[in-house]
Amino acid sequence: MATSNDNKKAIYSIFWIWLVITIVGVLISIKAPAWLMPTSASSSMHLVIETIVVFSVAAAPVAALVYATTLYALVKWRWRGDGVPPDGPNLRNNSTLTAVWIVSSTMLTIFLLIWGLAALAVDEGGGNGKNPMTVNVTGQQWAWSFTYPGTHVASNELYLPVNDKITFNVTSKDVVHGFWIVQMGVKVNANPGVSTTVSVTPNKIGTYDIRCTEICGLYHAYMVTRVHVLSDTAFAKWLSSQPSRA
Amino acid sequence: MTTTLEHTPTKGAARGGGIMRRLNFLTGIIGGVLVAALFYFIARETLDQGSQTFVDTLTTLTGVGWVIGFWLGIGAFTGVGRWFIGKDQNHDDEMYLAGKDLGRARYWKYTTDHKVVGVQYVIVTMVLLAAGGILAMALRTELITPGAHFVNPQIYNAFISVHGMVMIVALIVAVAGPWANFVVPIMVGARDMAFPRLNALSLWTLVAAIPLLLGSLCVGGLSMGWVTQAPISEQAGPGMDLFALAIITFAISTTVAGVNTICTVLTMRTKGMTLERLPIFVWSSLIAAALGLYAFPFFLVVMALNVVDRTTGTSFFIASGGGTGWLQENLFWLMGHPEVYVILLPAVGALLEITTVFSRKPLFSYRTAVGGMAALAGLSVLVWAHHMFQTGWAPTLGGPFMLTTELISIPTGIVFLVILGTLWRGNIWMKLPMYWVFGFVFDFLIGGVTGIYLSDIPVDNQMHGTMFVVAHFHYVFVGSVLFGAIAALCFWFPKMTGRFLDEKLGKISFWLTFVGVQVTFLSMFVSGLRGMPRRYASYAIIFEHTNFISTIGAYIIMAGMLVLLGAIIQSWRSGEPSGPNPWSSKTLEWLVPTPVPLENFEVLPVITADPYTYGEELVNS
Amino acid sequence: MSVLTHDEHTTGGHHESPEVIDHRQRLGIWIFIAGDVVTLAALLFTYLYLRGTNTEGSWRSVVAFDFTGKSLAQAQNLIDNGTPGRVFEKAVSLGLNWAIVLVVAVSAALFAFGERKIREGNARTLVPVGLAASAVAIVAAVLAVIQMRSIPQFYFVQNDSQLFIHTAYGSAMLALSGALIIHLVLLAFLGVGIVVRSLNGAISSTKWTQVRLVRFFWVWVAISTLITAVVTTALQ
Repeated sequence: MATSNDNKKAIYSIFWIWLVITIVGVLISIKAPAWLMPTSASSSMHLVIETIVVFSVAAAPVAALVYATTLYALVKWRWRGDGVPPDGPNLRNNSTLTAVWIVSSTMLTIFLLIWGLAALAVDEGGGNGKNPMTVNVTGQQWAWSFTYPGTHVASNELYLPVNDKITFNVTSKDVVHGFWIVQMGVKVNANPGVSTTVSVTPNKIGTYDIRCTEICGLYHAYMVTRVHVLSDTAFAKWLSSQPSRA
Repeated sequence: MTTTLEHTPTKGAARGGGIMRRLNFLTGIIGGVLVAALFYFIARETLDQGSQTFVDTLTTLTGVGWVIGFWLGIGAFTGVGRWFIGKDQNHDDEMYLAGKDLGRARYWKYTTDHKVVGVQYVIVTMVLLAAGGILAMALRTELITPGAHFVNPQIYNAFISVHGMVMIVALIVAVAGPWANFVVPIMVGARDMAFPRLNALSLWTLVAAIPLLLGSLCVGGLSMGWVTQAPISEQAGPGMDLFALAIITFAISTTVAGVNTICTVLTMRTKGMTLERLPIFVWSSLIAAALGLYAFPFFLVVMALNVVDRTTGTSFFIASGGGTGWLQENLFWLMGHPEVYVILLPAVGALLEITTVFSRKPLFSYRTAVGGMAALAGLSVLVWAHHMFQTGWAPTLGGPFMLTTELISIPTGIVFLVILGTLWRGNIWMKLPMYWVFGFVFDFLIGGVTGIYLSDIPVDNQMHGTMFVVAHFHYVFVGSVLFGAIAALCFWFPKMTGRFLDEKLGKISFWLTFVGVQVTFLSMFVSGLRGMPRRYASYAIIFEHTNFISTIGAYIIMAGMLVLLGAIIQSWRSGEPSGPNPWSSKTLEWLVPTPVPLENFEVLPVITADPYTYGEELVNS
Repeated sequence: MSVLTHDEHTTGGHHESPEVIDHRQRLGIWIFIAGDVVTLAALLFTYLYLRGTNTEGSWRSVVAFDFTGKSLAQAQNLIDNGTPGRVFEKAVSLGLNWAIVLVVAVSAALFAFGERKIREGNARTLVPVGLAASAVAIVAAVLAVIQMRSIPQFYFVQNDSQLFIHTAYGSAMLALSGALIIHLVLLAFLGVGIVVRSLNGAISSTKWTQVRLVRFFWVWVAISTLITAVVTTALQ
C-alpha cells in the first residue's frame, strides 16, 4: 500500500497552504495590534503591544497548521459519493508525530512563558522614570478622586508629570472598582479596607482615559475620568495653582 | 411479589408505583408554591421586620421552601421515605418509575429511565438557552449605539448577570445532561445508570433551580455580573439571595449527576469493556464529572457564605468585620476555572466521537487523547488566580499562576492533534454533525490562542475587564462548546427520535450561526483592544462602530438559532426516518434498536474490541 | 466493535447479584464522601484565609459596641453617647470544641459496634445500639448549637449601617458548626432509618451491607470533626 506516498503528497500540499496563511498571519500580527490599540503613553503599554505582536507571530504558524490541514481535508478528503463512505486507513497513532507535537508545543509555551516573565519583571519595576512620586487613588461609587501626598491637593482628574515614575496607592470607599489607565497599560483593583499598588512611567504628554473595569453598580459605565500628562514645569504650575482641600 | 416480565400487564395498565402514580411536574409546582408560601408566611410573622436583614432572610427562606416543596410534590422524597420505613421498591415499582407503559406521561414525571432523563435534559437545555439568548439579544440591542435606549443601567446590569449565569448553567448541562444520560449507559453496555433514582433527582433539581434563577430578575435583579463579587454582592437586593439559592440547588443537581456518571462508568461496564475500549465520549464524561465533583462544592460554599453574610451579620466578605472580598474571589475562581473545563470536556468528547464516525477512521492516538483530557482537568485546578491578576491579592503569585495557565495550552493542543490526526486521509462525510466539527476547529483555535494572550500578565493588565475577555470566552463557549452541543444533538438525534434532523435547515442554521459568531466576536475583540471595558451599559463614541457590527452579528446568530429550533421541532414530529444506525457507527448505542427498548439490551453484549476498528479489514487483507 | 451475543450474567430476568450492587453502592458513598471532603476543605480554606489576611486587624476583634451583659437601656445609652471601640473576642471554648469531637466519635463507635454485631449474625443488638448512636449524634448537634450560640455579636455602627455582626473568626466558626449540625442531623436520620429497616426485616444478618455504607459516612463525619478541631485549636 502506498501509504507513505499519500502522506507525502498531503504534507507537500498542506505545506504551501500553511506557508501562505503563516505569511498573511505574521504580516497582520506585526501591523494590526498597534493600529487597533490605543496610543502608547508609557513603556508598560509599549511592552503590552510588543507582547501581543510576539504572541501573534508565534501563534500564526500554529493556527496556519490547523487551518491548512482542515482546509485540505475538506477539499481533498471529502467523500463525494452517495451513502456511507468506505472506511479510511486504520491509522491509530504515530508516536513520532505525537512526540514532536507535544515537544514543540511545550517549547513554544516555555518561550512564551519566559517572554512573559521577563516582561512582568520589567513591568513591575514601573518603568525607569526619574523623580519617583506617589499618588493616592480612591474609587467610590461612581467616581475617582486623586490626592497627592505631601501636598494638600485633591482632584477628580489625574495630573502627572511626564517621565517620572508614578506609584499609585489605590483603595476604595465602598465596593471593588478597577483602576485602569487605558493608554498606559496599568490596571489594579481598588478594594475597600486595603491599599493596592501599581507603578508606571508615563512617557508621552497628552490626555488619556481612566475607566473602571470591575462592575461596581448602577453607574459603573460612567465611572470614567481623564489623566493629563504634562511637562515638569506645567505640572508644577498646576500643582501650585490647586486650592488646598479643606 | 414474584412477577416476571412475561406476565407484564398490557399497555396502559402499568402496576406498581404507589404514590408516584399521582405525582408529576404539576404536583411538583403546586408543592413548591405551597411550601414556599408556608415558609413565607411563617418567616414574615416570626422575623423582626425592622431588621436590615429581614428582606434577605424572608426571600431566602421562601426560596428554600420552593425547592423542598417541589421535591416533595414531584416525589423525590418517596424513595427516601420508603427506605426509611424499610419498604423497598419491588420490581413493579421500579418498572413504573422507569416509565414502563406510561407513554408520553413519563416525560412529565419523576422517571428514572436514563433515556427519558436524556430527552428531558434536551428540553431543559433548550429552555435555558432560549432564556439566556433572549437576554443576550436585549443586551446587544441596547448596545447597538452608545447611550441608553430602552433599559436603564440597573436593568442592563441585571440582564448581564442573569444572562451569564443562565448560559453557564445551560452549557454545563448542554452536552453532559442529555448525552451523558442518554448515551453513556448504552455505550458502556449497561441497562441504566448506576443509581437510576439519582437520574431523575438531578434533572428535577435543575428544573427547581430555574425559577429561582429567573425569579431573581423579578425581585430587583442583581447587578454584579455572574461573578457576584463581594462586597458589591452584599449590597444587592433580594435578587442576590434567589441567585445564590439557585446556584446551591444547581450544585446539588450537578453533584448527584456526577456521582451517578462516575459510578456508571466505573462499575457498570459490560463484560469485555475494558477502560482501553471505552469510547472517548465516555472518558470525557467521566473526567468532566470527576472535575465537577471537585469544583462545585466551592460554588456551593461561596454562595452559602454570601447568603449567610447577607442574612445573619457574619463577616466573611465584609472588610469592616474582618472579612475580605478576596476570599470570595478565591473561593469563586477555585470553582470557576475547573468549571469551564467541566463545560468543555463533554463537548470535546462528543466532537471527537463524531469526527471518527464521519471520517471513517479510528480516533487518532487514543491514549494521548485520554491523557490530554486528564491533564487538562488536572492542571485546571491550579490556574484559578489568573482571573485575579489585578486584584492586588497576591502579586508574588502572579508568576506561578502564569506558568500553570500557559502550561494548559499543551493539553489543549493535544485536542487539535487528535482531531487533525483523525481527519487525516479519512473519507470525510460532510453530513450535518461534521459542519459543526469544522466550525469548532476554527473557533476553538481563536478562543484558545486569545486565552494564551490573557495568560500573560502584562497583556492581561491591559485586557482584563475589557470586551477582549468577553470575546475570548464567547469564542470558547459559543463557538466551541455550543457548536459541540449542537453537533451532539444532530448526531444523536436519530437515536433519540428515530428521525434525521433536517439537513437543509440544519446547514442554513450552521452557516448563519458560524458567520454570526465571527461577525459578533471578532468585532468584539477590536472593541476590547481599543479599550472598551466589559459590563458597560453605555460606552464612549469611539466604540460605536465595533458595537454596531457586533449587534448585527448577534442578530445573525439569533436567526441561526431560530432556524435550528424550527428544524428540531419539525424533524422531531415528521423528519425523515433514520433507522437504528444511519451513520454506520460502531459504538454500542447504534447497535440497539430505535426506539431504544426500556432496558437497552435484550442480552448484554460481550466486547472484544474498541469502537474504532475502521479500516481494519483493509489492514488484515 | 465486535459484539458477541451470549450473556453470562443474566438469564431471563435482569437481576444483578447483591455483591455487584454492594460494590457499586460502596463506590457511590466514597465518591459522595470525596465531595464532602472538598466542601470541608473549602470551609477550612475560608477559616485559614481570613485568619491569614486579618483584614483591618479584625480576625478576632472589631471596632464596634459590645452589648453582652448589658440591658436594653444601657445599650441604647452607649449608642447615643458612646463611640465604638475595639472589642476583642475570646476563642470558642476548647473544652466544648473537643467535647464535640469526643461525642461524635462515641456515636460513630456505637454505630460501628452495631454493624460488627450484625455482621457476626447478631441482628438484635443493632436496634438499641443504632438508636443510641443516633441519640448521641443529636447530643453532639446540641453541643454544636451551644457552641454557635456562644459566639458573640457586636453592634456595628458606620455611616448608614447599624447592625449586629460577627468577627471573621466568629463567622468561620459559625459556618463550621452549622455544617456539622447539618451532617449530624443527617446521620441521626440514617441511623434511625437503619434501625427501622432492621425491625422490618429489610436489614438482617444476611442483608447488612447498607449498614456498612452508613458507617463509612459516620466515620467520615467523626474524622471531619477531628480535623476541624485540630485546625481551629492549633491556629486560633
